Amino acid sequence: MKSRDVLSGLFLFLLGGIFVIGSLNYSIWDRYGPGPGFFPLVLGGLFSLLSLALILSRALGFAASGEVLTESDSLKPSQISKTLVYLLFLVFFYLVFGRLGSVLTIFAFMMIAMVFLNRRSLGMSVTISAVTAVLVYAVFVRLLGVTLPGGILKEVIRFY
Amino acid sequence: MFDNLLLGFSASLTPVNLVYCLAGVTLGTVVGVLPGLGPVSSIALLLPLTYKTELLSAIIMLSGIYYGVQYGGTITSVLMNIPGEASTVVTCIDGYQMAKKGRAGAALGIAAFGSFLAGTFGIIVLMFLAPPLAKLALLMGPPEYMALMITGLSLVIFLSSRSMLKSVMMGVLGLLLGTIGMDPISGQIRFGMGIKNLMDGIDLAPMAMGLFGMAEVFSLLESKGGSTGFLDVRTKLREILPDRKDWRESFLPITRGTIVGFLIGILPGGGAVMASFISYAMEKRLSKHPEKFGTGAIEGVAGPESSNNSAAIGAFVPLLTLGIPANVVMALLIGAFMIHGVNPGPLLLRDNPVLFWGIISSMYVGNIFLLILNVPLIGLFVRILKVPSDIMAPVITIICFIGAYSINNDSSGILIVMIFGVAGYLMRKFKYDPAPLILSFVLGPLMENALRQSLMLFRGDVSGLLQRPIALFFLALALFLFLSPLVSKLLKRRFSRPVFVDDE
Repeated sequence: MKSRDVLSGLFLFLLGGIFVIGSLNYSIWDRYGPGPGFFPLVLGGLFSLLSLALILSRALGFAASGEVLTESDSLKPSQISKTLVYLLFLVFFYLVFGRLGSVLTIFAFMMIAMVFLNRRSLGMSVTISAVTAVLVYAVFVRLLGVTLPGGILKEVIRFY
Repeated sequence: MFDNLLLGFSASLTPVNLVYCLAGVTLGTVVGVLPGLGPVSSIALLLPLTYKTELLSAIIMLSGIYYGVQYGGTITSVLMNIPGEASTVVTCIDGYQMAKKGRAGAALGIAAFGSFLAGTFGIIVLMFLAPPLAKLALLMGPPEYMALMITGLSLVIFLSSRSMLKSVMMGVLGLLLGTIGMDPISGQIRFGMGIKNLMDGIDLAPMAMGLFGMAEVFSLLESKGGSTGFLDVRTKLREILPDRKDWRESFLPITRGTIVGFLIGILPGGGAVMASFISYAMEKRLSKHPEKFGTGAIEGVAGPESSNNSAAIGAFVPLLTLGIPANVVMALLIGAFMIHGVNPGPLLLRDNPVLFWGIISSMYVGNIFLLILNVPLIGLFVRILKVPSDIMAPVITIICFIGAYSINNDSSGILIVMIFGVAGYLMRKFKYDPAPLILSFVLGPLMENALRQSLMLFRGDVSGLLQRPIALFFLALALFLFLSPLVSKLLKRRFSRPVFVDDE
């Protein structure tokens, strides 16, 4: 836990520094009082200081009570590999959603997620994916009036 | 008072709002049954839908989810020893033991009735407390608002049970993220980086969906799957209803739990979780047979269950009267108000009485729905637990993404969900709590606005605050609240040192 706190503290220290540097592009104080740069400057500085305090406290051996790492907190490849692959599926969803359309994207996403996550049979995966895609369309588009991209289906099917 | 309530009922008893109320409490119960997916994630998922609906209907539904969750979490706590919600963890202790002794019906029944009574009490008190509090709040100007927001922010440290330093860090980060976008006073775009979608700042809904919903999905993927057994529960009405002995033993715990829960729920940083634990501890202390606790004592179910529902209603008091969120869920509800350009707070009662009383009256209706739902639908809700994670994870993802897309009808919302999903996932791994971040993100812009207006009022001279006693009171309270955990830690250390006495 100590090394994780030092690592995260370092990252957050830099993040605070970015806000401090960025805030200098705006007016800090004008004749009416604090300008738009005042708040981010003070907060960014405070954030960096707190991050430094975290790094120093852990480096000096002070640990937070109750912070115990369990198996689910592991960052080993065997633990996080599923998550990393799932992230790629999310990127796929983001990239094709507008072009392919909501129904086809949801169908494809459900299919690959289920096959990858539990190696379900093709027939079962197709059925559940199709039902999910149709249900999402029915609830969000038809019932709730949410506008979702039609994509390829919109070109092909008139009533979509 | 009763005219106002009738006004509220006339708004909340429309067919549309009854449907929204029923949808909210049903969804809340389902969410409560599902371990992991809490009220924060589900309200965050549904927040984008409030763009398309009337504000009253949206708030009725979202509020229904919040207090409905307390009911749902009890079902799995009693039947499977799995707390559906953090606020029902303590119900597992005695509720599951009662179920093992064949008394699951009595446990669920007393929980449902106790929750109903506690919820109703909470609504009545809210009804009487809200108008005078709102009148008091009208005396407040920018300096008082600034001090009040600082008080709210000082309670971020209570939102996390982990490191105080990390809680404060997440609070400050939330304030920083709140500065992104257009500065409300000068109109300048801060940290926009030339990105069109950042001009209005980061949207709360996709951020919350990412931090809570997507982070939960990633955790689901990494958890070891497996079915858990559950007890066969008889759900016939006569087996659900508690008997006379159960009522006799539960009456005082329900009463105490209700009062304690409401008072804790009002406090920013308090909430259903804290209320349920305090109630359990109190009942065990006060019981003539504390050794019964842990073996199936009905008091161990009645008290905490009443307490968590009462706290859920109590949390609406600071939201509706002062415009400050008592917890993360209330912070999201503020988001829903702001989406419609309505500021919850003291002016809500004066400017939107139909909305104000509509929300309060809908809670009566919601509580009745919950009582009716919980009795016959227990068997159905338990079946939802059997949905495997390989289906649950992508379904939650799809709901998050669709919701995020619908905000601006473009994919930038999806990107925000993904970014904050990864952030939320890493925060879990590195033991940072996202709750203070969300609370500060909501309160930060309000506080900055009030602070800068105050300084303009005082022409930059901070000593002007000395002439504002209400503001000074809140600032002193903020300082006390912020320092109290540190002080009590120091005092504990000081007085737990062994004192050596010279032997004579």
